[in-house]
Amino acid sequence: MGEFKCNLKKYRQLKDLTQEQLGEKVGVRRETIMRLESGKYNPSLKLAIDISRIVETPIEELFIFD
Amino acid sequence: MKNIKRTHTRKISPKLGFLGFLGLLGFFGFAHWFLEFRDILTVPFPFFFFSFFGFFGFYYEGKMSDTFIDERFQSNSYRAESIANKVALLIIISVAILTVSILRLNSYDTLSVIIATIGFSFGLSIFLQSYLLFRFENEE
Repeated sequence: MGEFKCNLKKYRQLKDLTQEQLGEKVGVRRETIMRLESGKYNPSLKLAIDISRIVETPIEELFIFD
Repeated sequence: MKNIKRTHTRKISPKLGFLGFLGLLGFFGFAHWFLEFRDILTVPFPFFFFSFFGFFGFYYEGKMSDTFIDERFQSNSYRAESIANKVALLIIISVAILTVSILRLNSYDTLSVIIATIGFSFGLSIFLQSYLLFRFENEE
C-alpha cells in the first residue's frame, strides 16, 4: 500500500473535535486517530466512511493517495 | 448461546510473565542422557515444557491490559500472529528436515529433538504474538 496524505486534522479542527471525541464517535482509540492523521495507519473503508460522515467531508478530500 | 464480542483486552498482571521461567522445566528432558530413564520414560515428554517459555508473553499482554480493541489493534494482532506462526513453522520444518537428513540420530533422540523443537516453537509463537503486538501498537 502506497503512502497517503491525510487532511483529517484540518477538518477535525474545523468541526471543533478532539482526537478523543472523534475516536469515540467512530469507535476507535485516540492513538488510532493520531496515527491516521500522521498517515501511518491505513484505515478500513468503513472507518474512512464513518470519519467522513462525522467531519462532513468527502473521503477523497480527507485521504489523498499518490 | 449468544456470542459476546470482546471489546477490551483481558486484565492481567505483567508479573504473570514470570511463569515463563517454567519453560526451564524442559531441560529435564536432557536427564535421560545422564540417567538411564529410557525404560521408564518411553517418550521424552519433559521437552514439551519448553512451550512454557510462551508465558513470558504475559508480560507484554499485561502491559496492554484493558486496551480497547479497535480495527488497528485487530489488524496488528493478525499481523503479529501471522509472523509468529511463520517463524514457529519455519523452525519446526527446518529442524525436522535437518534431523532426518543430516544428523542421523537414533529414533529416541530424533523424537527428543522433534518434541523439544515443537515445544520451543510453540512457546516462541505464543511469546512473539504478544511481543510483536506490543511493538506494533507502540511503534512510532
